[in-house]
Amino acid sequence: MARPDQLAKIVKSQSHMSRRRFMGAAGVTAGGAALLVACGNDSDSGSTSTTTPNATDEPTPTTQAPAAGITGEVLIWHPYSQPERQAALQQAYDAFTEANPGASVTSEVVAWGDYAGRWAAGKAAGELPDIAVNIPENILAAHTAEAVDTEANQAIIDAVGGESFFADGYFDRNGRINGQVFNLPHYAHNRLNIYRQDRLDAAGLGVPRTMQEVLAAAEAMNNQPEYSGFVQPLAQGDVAASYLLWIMTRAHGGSTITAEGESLLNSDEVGAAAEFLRQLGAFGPDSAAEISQGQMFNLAYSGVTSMQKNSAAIIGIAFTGNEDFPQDVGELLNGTHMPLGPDGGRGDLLGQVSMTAMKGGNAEGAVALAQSLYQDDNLLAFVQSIPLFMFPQTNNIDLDSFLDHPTIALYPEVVEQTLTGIREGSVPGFENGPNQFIGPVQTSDVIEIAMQEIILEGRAVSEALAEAHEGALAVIEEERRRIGG
Amino acid sequence: MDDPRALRGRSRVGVAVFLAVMVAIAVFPLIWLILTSIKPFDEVYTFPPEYIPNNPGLNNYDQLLNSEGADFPRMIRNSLVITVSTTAITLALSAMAGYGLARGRFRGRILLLRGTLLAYLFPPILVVVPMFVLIADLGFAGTYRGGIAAYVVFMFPFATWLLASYFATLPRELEEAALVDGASNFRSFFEVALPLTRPGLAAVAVFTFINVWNEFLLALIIVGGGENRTLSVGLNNLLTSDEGAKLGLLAAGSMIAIFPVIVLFISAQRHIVQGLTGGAVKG
Amino acid sequence: MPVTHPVGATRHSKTPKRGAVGEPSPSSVPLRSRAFGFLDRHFAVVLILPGFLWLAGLLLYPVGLNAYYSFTNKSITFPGVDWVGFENYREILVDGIFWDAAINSFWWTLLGVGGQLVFALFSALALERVTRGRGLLRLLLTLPWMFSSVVVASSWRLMLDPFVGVINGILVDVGLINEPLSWFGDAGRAFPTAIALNIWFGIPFMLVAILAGLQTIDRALYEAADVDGASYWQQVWHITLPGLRSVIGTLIILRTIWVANNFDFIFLTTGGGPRDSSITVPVYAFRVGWTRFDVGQMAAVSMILITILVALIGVFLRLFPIDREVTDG
Repeated sequence: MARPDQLAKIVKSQSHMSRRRFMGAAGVTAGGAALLVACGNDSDSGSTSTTTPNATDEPTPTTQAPAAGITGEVLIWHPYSQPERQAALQQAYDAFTEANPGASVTSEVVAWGDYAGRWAAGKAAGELPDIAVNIPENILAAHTAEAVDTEANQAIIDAVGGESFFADGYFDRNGRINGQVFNLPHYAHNRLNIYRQDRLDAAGLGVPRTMQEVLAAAEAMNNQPEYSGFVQPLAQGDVAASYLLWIMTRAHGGSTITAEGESLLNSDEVGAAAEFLRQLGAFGPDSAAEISQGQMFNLAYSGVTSMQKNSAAIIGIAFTGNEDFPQDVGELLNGTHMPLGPDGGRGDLLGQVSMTAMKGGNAEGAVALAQSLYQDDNLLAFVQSIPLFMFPQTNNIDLDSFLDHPTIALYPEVVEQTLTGIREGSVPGFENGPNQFIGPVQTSDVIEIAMQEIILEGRAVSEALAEAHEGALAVIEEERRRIGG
Repeated sequence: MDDPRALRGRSRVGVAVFLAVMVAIAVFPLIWLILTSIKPFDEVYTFPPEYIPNNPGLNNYDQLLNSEGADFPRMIRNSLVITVSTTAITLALSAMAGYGLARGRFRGRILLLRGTLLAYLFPPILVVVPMFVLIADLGFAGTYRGGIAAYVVFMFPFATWLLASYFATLPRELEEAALVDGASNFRSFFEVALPLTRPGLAAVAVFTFINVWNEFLLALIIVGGGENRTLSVGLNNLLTSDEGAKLGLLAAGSMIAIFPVIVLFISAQRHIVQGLTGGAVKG
Repeated sequence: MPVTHPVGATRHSKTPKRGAVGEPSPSSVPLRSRAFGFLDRHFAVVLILPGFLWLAGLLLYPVGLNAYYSFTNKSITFPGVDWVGFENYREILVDGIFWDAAINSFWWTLLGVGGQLVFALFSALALERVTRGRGLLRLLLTLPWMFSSVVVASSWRLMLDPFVGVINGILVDVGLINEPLSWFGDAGRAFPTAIALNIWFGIPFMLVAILAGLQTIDRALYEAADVDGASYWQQVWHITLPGLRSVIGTLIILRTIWVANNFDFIFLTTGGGPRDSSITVPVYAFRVGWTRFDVGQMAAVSMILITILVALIGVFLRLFPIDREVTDG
């Protein structure tokens, strides 16, 4: 914190005080007194994103609400910062408040990575949301700490017509642990290798599918410092490097952290995956350690990377009219599956985005709002708000009509690889169902640090991974201690 | 007045070059912030950089302040409410405590003064988490009230210290005259001592305002990232945003955050610097 | 808190019109005014109570909580608190990253405070020799002071961006480097870069304080030195620096405490990375307490630092008794 004030003390120590007047500043004092009164009107007064049926600033009129309807505020946290997706969510909120005139929706953007900190602080402060949207690994951590309302999740399932409303086998693969449903799907995507078609054409190469082809393409499309062949975001503080390692480990037929809490980071499969990423890293920038996943959109649209791991959102965003991501640049991009392993194995990292009811105090509201979010028209508007990106995980949306979108029709391979990934792939670590150990290991940065050492410092793969393995074991042990009681 | 140590010859050049470099380093980041904030996306994301914008515009500001669901206006309001309230409460509490410490003669006074100094030097990072636990237990985590309560803790000690020094320099005769005239101690505080301390109060107000407006850690933990988040926290979200931390927006957001401080600083600069340093030292 | 006997108040009340202390109040005086009379006689205590109660409740008490938590496994995310004895302290002291952080904190503080002081001192001396436009120059040199930590971080991350940063642009233009460098992403460069930012930010404060200190030095000393034919640098060494002794001493100690405990700059620029190369103790504490939510262990880190801090302040008060003015007043 800036401490301009320290100065005064130093000076005061030496001499007497002058009584000069500070005219400009005196006004601040007066204003302070006035606003002191206003501060009594604290947090609970009109948030800009609160939707009330009558658009008044008054507190929710619980007493006047019809007896049958839902009342009170429903707080939803979601990570969708783009205006396109927010507008589609608003449609569902409006439908909800129309059906429940006594209720209001407060919608707050909580970034993917901020969720872990926010629910923990919110739990301590008694300010959890009623519904939260994030990825299953993060939601599972909240569930472990008993912040998720599994009964309300079950009520949502019942309200929309049972588990058959959702994609087949969803809950066993991603949503249920010890018999309790801790999340429900909102949409899904797959991690693809997104490449610059124009640079690939200029190099006279076909779509890179195998590890060798990807390495060759990265080398051919590497023109540093102007642009890199393949940018791997390796920054500490996000899990992008862990994701890449998991994807390539799966392509080699292995796993990183098992649901039983076993670390396989010292296995041959992980070693081979890391070795490939090391070779690929030669065609990446020296600054990889300060690049996070969040910057990848900007890097793609400023042209500094020829290939990257990303979802098809990076292409779809160009078709939404967003000024910063112009269509002519987006049209230079195309995508395919991530590099295949030596035996043709695939690593499909399911981009599963889920919602869950949390212990926010308005379970009825959470159920009704979730119902509105899942309602056919509202959900379709949402999953099409950024085309080519959000694939439905519920059976009320007909896949053919979803795919019948002009932008989506332009990218058949992207669609095919995404659908394959959603069908065959899994959330990292969820290969055999939900896994509460992988989240803490991935967020502990042990894998990020190992990959930085391997790619940027030339440390031996086996050494770096052995250290990551030790780190992972410590994290797992701590996690066991906490959840074991 | 002729300075006998006025510069001559080579040393004059040396001083000029040194100061020019120092000023350039001090000023350039602000200039670059301004320039970046008015550039469109493609001019920000280019290398070598475009020093002067070709198509300057206020799009970044517009997006932060006026777009659908823009939360900057709310964050500005949050910062204002928290900052101004903290300033007002700090002024009131520290003026009272400062006078009590300067004029009172009670046991434990020295201990309190030392305690004030210790509290002033106490780094928030060392206590912020238990403070959060306490404020959360009281139900004020994530609210204005929680934030203000925490900020007053860290602003009060310095303000008290400063004002106690101020009151200590006031001639006692004025207050004693008031007492002889039958005024209560409280009246002589309000009507005699307080008006004479206006410069000190103003300094406290300015410093408290700037410090709270600029503060990050308590804002992050006590007020949190929710709907009451301050500009500092909102700006940090932009910095670490998951979905594209755009540098142009970051620059515009930074300008919005720094603007009131610059205005306050420049308009009160003479008073702050001369009153609290030069003036005081000369006096 | 030992707040009793408002001696000062009784001294003031020795006027005949007001009841002397100990004099029984006439029962005819209304209760309200009797209560007011009591409060007025204890006015100093009444005035200081609200602020100090606030401080006691929200600073002293949490520090006590910290001491307690440091012996427990208190967590924000998991319920229940168990006594674990010195386990938290032990875990910290065997954690290699804590010691890395401690070593980094040492350099962070030494180089940060030292750099700020050296640049501020030379700037102040140079500014003293400027005859015209001194006020404007001082204002411009003070600009970094107005930056909040988040704006410091965002503006420098903007300028030091590895792909489009203007610093790389300038360095390439003047031929110092051939291609853009990674500043915050290079394990050898991130920490020095963060230290440089800290120096940049801290110069103005020291500058203004030193300029104020310079005003207190008696001009006649310089005139006498001129007569004796002392060179400019001799005058700086024998007159200016000794004259600034107490300002600089106070600055060093205040700044040491603040810089050592600075959390924002590292957290907001490098986050302690890459590969923990720039982690300092405050960032370590935050990571333990607010990323892992292990309140107990963070409390242990805090208690270690609080002990060091109190010792430092004790030394400070002995060397520079800055509380003398008020306490003697």
